[in-house]
Amino acid sequence: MEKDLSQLKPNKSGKVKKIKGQGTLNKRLLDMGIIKGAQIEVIKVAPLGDPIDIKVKGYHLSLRKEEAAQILVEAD
Amino acid sequence: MGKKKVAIALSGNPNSGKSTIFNNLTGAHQHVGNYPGVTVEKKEGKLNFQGYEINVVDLPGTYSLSAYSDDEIVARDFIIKEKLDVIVHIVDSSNLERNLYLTTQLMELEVPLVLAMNMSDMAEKKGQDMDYTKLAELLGVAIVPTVGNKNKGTKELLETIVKVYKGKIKTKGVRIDYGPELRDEMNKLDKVVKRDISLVGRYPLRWLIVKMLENDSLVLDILSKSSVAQEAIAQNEKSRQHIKLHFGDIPETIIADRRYGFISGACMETLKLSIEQRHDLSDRIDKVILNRILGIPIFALVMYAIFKFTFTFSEPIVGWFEKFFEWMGGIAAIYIPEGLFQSFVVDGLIGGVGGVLGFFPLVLFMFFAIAFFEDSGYMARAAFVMDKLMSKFGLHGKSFLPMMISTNGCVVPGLMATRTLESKKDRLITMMVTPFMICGAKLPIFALFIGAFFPAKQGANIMFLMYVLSVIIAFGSAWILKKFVLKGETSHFVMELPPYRIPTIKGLLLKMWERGWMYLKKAGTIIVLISIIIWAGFTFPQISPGEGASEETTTFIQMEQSYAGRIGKFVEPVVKPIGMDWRGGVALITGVVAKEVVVSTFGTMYSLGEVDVEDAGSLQEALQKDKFWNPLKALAFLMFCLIYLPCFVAIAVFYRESGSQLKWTLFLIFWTTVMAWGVSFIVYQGGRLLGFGV
Repeated sequence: MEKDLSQLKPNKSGKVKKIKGQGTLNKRLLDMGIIKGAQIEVIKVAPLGDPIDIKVKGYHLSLRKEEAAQILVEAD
Repeated sequence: MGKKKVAIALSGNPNSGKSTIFNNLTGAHQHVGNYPGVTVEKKEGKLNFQGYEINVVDLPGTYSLSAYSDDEIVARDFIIKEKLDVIVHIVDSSNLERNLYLTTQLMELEVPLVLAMNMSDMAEKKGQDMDYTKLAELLGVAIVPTVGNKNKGTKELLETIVKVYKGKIKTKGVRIDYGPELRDEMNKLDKVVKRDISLVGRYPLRWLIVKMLENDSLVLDILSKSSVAQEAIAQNEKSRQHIKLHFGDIPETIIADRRYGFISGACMETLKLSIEQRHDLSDRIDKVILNRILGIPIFALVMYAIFKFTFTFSEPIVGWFEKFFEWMGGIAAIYIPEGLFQSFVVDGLIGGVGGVLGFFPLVLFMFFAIAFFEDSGYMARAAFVMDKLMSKFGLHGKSFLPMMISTNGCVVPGLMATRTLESKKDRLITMMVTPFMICGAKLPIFALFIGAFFPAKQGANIMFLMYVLSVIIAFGSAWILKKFVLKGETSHFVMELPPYRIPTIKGLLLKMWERGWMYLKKAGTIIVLISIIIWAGFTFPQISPGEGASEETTTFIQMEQSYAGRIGKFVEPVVKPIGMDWRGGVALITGVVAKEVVVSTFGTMYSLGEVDVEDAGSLQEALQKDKFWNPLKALAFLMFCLIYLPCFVAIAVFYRESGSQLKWTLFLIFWTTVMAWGVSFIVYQGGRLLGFGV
């Protein structure tokens, strides 16, 4: 099922389908290895509910929910 | 014949252990400066090896080499312009794919490349079995496995650097195949760009072309100034359009895809995973540290630990420093005959500087504690835990670090730490509010007045209140600035949470010393000078004592009639409503030079007022004895010191870090001063209405 990354619950994973938008955020996500086909697992949500901690390419990356909403994933 | 010089630079991702390798290579022979024109820190060091003098530059840690941050621009410009002999790329072997992404970009810069596969022990523990020879072949680079924190592989790394320098190892980085569609477009661009000979001489051609396709603003700028400007830009537009149509995605995405594709291909051929570890130690630690319930208490605990460590552990050493300077003053008073020169040495020089240098241990302890949490990986978690709250006030999780470094530390490095913020707006807001934090130089003022006018238990509460107030004022200001002055979106929060690591003592000590030295340099050069100026301000013009006047009256008149006294008198009407007299005015004005000078100004004022040099010891006692002061006045004065404008060094740094915007610098001065006066006024007049201190 296709959804954006911010909707994915902790311990759920998915494959990146598309990154919406352009510019700095887009470039940064690419640099950090969030590319089409990359496997992403949501690890946890920060104590205050935002940002989230994801695992991609074997390392941990944090991003805000509004940023995660730019990433479309195919949930496993 | 002189030694042969080899110029190398270290490049790598943040958290790859780059500074540890740098420390291993250069030992204590390093110095910190700035890259010309920008405010990015430049660390350099030197070493001798096998008859070569190797100069090492530690480039800023970056994930990529795009044009989106100063760090990345500095790193790539340095590599292109400096004609380096070798680039050493520090790779975190346990996080291979993302680290190699930077490798693919370094390869495009066509400089001999040596990969230090760092933390190779961690990678092995993770179950990685890497065929280094094969990877070196596939990438066309030299590879040396290292374990930075155990100083393993340093010698081998140096040997390889020398071999590469001598040409005994060929390191022609391979060219990534971006696929037929991109290749065609790159060929078309190549034909155009190549025609400008001057470009070809200065930049690696292929790099220019890839960057053009990536829509890199700085490379497009270079192109637009070339002799083939029009044609190149037009072709680039056409090529980008073509790629977009073909792939349904922008070229940046396709290029990143291909780079990562190349990397996973190389990893597949060289890397064997013997065991798949789903949750390593770091993950397990995070389960507790970032826990929904425990996350914030742990954060608070860490902050408390930093502060406790800073104050409690440095206390005896601070005491020794104080005693030492007192002793020096005593010795000087014995050997130098009474008169102007004795007064200069004892009160101006030893008294003033000693008061400031006495806090050096405090600064060192604090930087040690911060370095510990930075190197251990906790600071990123702190930003992660705090971001929601910080972003509510228009700040960023990363705004926390500059504020943290300033709290008990120094606003100067704090302002510099805002460089980690990529959005200019976020950065400016953070810079505007960072000076409100209680910097280390404000502490002596608080310590002095709280110690003098409040019992120990109440004193601790007041100190706590000051911290809370500084945060409220900073956050409130950020919110106002964001809402009314600097409107717009915040930057992103895409940040690595590095694995937890045990910091090395050497790394911590070097970091501590480096930052501590900055403070000392500032204190050493500026404060000595200022102390003397202040001493002169109090000593001149010299008043001849009237007939029969007691010594005490004479010294008091001297103080009042001096230049400093006259300035204080001049501003007295402004500071009177907040409970100050001219002496407070003088101290506040000199405090702009550096906050700790407020203390030495009082020191100068009171020890000049004292007749007996032997008894000039405690300034606190002198303040207590002075009938002018009471707890309410002390509190109002503390409030003013808490909020009012930062020292001129911080203002100068602010000016530079804001991109030399005078407008914002003046705004900072205005904002802080008005706020300080307002709060002090409310405290003092409110307190009087309630019947305190009357």
